[in-house]
Amino acid sequence: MPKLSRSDWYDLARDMNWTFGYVNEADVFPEELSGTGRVPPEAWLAWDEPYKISYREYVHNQVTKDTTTYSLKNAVGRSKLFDQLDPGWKSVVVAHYGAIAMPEYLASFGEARMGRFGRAAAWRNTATFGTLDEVRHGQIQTFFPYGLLGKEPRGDWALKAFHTNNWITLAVRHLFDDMFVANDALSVAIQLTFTLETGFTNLQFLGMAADAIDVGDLEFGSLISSIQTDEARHAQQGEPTIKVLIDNGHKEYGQFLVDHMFWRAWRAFALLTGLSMDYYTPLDSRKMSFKEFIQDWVVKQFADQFRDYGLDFPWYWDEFINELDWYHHAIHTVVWNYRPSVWWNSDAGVSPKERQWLEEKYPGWNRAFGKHWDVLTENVRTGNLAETFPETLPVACNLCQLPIVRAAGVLAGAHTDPAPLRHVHNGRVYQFCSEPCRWIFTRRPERFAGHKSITDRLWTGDINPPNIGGVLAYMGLSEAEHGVDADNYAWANGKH
Amino acid sequence: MALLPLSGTFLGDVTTVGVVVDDEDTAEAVGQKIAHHAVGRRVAARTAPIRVRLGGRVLDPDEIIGRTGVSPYDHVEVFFDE
Amino acid sequence: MSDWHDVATLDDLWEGDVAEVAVGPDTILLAHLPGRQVRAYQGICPHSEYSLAGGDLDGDVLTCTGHLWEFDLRTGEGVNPSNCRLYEYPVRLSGEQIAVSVPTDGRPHYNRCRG
Repeated sequence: MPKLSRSDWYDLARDMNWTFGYVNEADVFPEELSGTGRVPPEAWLAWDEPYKISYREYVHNQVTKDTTTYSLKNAVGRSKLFDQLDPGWKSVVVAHYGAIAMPEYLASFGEARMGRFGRAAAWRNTATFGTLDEVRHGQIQTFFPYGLLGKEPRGDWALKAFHTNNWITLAVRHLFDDMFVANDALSVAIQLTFTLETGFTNLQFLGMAADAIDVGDLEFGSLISSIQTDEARHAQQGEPTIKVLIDNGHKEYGQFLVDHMFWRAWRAFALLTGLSMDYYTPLDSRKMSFKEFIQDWVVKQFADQFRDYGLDFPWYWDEFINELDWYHHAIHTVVWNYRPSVWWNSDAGVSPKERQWLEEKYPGWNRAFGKHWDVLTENVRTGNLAETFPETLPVACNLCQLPIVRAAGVLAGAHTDPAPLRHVHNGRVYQFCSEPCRWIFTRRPERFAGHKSITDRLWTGDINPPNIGGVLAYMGLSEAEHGVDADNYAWANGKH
Repeated sequence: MALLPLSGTFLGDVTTVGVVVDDEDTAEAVGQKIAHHAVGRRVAARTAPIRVRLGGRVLDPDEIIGRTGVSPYDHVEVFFDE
Repeated sequence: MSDWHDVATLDDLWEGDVAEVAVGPDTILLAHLPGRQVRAYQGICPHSEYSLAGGDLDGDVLTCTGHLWEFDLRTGEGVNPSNCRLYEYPVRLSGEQIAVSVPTDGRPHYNRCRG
């Protein structure tokens, strides 16, 4: 037992600072890697994380978490629990592993960059734990799906997805490269830990763990809870960082970084969580709609934080709130249509009962989106399945890399013109799904200009042959891996 | 004869699709090529003629797309004329 | 203005125990500390809204199971982090009966802290 209480020794043990005698400040903290140069070095000494932990305590806690989670996995792995899960829920899990396991590991790069180039010793200390957290999350989220391989071969997409040019991967990789793989320490703190983790994922993981337990997926529920406890701790890095930035007169820059990443996080959430909550999770287990979830958790929570720190709402706030009604519904229709191109089984989620729920939660859903599903349903019923599959690609946004669905925005009354937004940079035409995506691109075009969207790759001959077969092969999917309708079309026959 | 990449939206659909047409195609043919990816798939089929709007102007069905001033990656809107 | 509510007896809440009770919309954590000391605080953690009654009480210090935040239940002060305290309700002991005073101001009675 330590003789002193933590507060007696903590600062001394944590604050490993010294004055550089042999090297320059700029050599130790190059701006490209640190990003902290706007604020003088002494001002960073005010950086303080609210929740303190020592290395000994950290290791003790993590061992306990791993022991609990792995024991549960061993017990559940011998049962038939996974086989009994709803097919839509299995899709939630398989989609999650492919999209998230590798980014969690890559997030350890961002954490390690803060652990080295964060300008305060306290920050570097917290980031060191964050690095270990993210290594753990990468490992545990590839190991758990490995255990599913006997039942779900596409569990290996936890590892594989990021090594392909699948269109979902392109979107997720572009986002996370921007957020933490190729980002300086200050921006990682504000964009990963403050904007994404504090703003979105902490809350999402809480909800997801509860849903998992509700549908009977104890293994996934326990895994997600175990991860969430780490996230909540290392996400603390954002608040002290933004506080130091604002206290030293750089609110505008902090606001820019938040505005940039809040929109991108919203796009990723609409894709992954929007589809999961409103279409894949079985109806009986839905506690709230995706829109209610974002309103209750993200909007309220962020409203508090913006106020507390003197930040403003992002300039596109009205557009964001408006999109809660329609954007993810459009993306869902496209993902289902392109179901062979994703590594999970897309759950249409539009049985008569589910459509009733959608109309209740999103008044006008039938008028804007139900019409497409009427046509799709009719094609399924009459055995005209070929017409439910695509023959070309949608045009992807050159920032978020997701399909441009302004056409659906027109149906929902949010836009008047379905045409993609454009920007010409060095003679190349870039197309965007929204004003915020175009704004993010044009503020720092050199950061994004070299990237080709999946549609660019089709147009410029990277994908051969330039047809849907070539596209699926380019995306790294063997025929056995193509996603199929999760319910084998039971929804279309009204038997769901 | 040259390939012409375009983005096209059929009004009433959810998404904009990428297509490659021939610059010698008529507006009618371009409209059909884009409608192929939407009509009967997500947009209910109708008997009305299909028209193409480029930069705010509805093209004559016989107009050759390559002579309309169109550039690669331009957007065209396709719709039922009724 | 506030009203006193009988919420439990010492038979329900032994020394070293915590329990959750509800009074109207208020979720309240009761704690029986060594030396016949009973305290009442907000029932949900000010951090991430986990129920504090599921936490571990060691002496006077309660550790929330959500993210291991620690609170001194003698005072309601946060131990880790230290910049966060629990909302406290007055408690009255009459024999075995525990009563808690809940303000009737129609406002929520809890503090929130993030981290």
